[in-house]
Amino acid sequence: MNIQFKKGVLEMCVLSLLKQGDKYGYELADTVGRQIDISEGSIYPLLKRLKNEGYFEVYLKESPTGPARKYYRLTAKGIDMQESLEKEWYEFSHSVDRVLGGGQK
Amino acid sequence: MTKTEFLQQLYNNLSPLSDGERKEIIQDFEEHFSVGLENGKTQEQICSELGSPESCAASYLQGANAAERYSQGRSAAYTVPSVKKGGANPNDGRNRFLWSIMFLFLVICAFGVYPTAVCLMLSPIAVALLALFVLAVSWSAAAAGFLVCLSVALFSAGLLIFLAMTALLKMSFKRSGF
Repeated sequence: MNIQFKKGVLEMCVLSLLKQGDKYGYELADTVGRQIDISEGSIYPLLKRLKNEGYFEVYLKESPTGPARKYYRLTAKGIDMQESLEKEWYEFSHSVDRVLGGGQK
Repeated sequence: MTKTEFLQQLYNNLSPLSDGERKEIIQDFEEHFSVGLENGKTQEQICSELGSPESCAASYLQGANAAERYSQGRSAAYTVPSVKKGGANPNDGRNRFLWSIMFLFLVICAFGVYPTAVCLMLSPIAVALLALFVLAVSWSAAAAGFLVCLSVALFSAGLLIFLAMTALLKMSFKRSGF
């Protein structure tokens, strides 16, 4: 699949995963990496950018097995963004479906 | 590639960023490695899933540039392309139509407005002629001052009307998309 396309969708995937609950970096990278063929390393720059733009908050939480982990939590702005991206995505994919289906409405 | 090699290369490629940022990024990746190792993956495996350290670094640098350029507002890198509902956005068409009407209306107004503006701008000449007569008959500083102010005011009003009309015409022409 086209790399730019995947990158764009990645942002929506990360926001959507976080909407289901707070997660740490590895969880996000691993979950997305299992479903979508993408370098997991590209998740971290994305997380940093979205954090800088105020879509997440970050906090450290002890893990039972090792050092503390960095958790990401959606802010209200992040939730808004997720909802609008999801909505746009469905509209967009339906439109593309229609085009692929021969342009009937 | 081992964990150390990966982190070293990542760190080296992040040189345009500040030390604090570089350390934070390395910490994120160290965490990724330690969780991956806990989950029974090898360093080799984790590295290959992460992709090349160069491309990770490139994404960070790209993000930093984008953040500078778009420090205000929405995420720079991506938005789902907007979709035209049912062919064309009906709002677009309606707005254009309204602006076209506005434009035609303004063109008609222009026939009255521009001569008025020109007259106003030229009126100081008439005022000056008037002044010649009045002041020749009886010189008074107050009358002279009043006439100068009057000409300036008339000229400004004319200019203002001229500019406002031009701006309105331009705007409605553009928005109507003729």
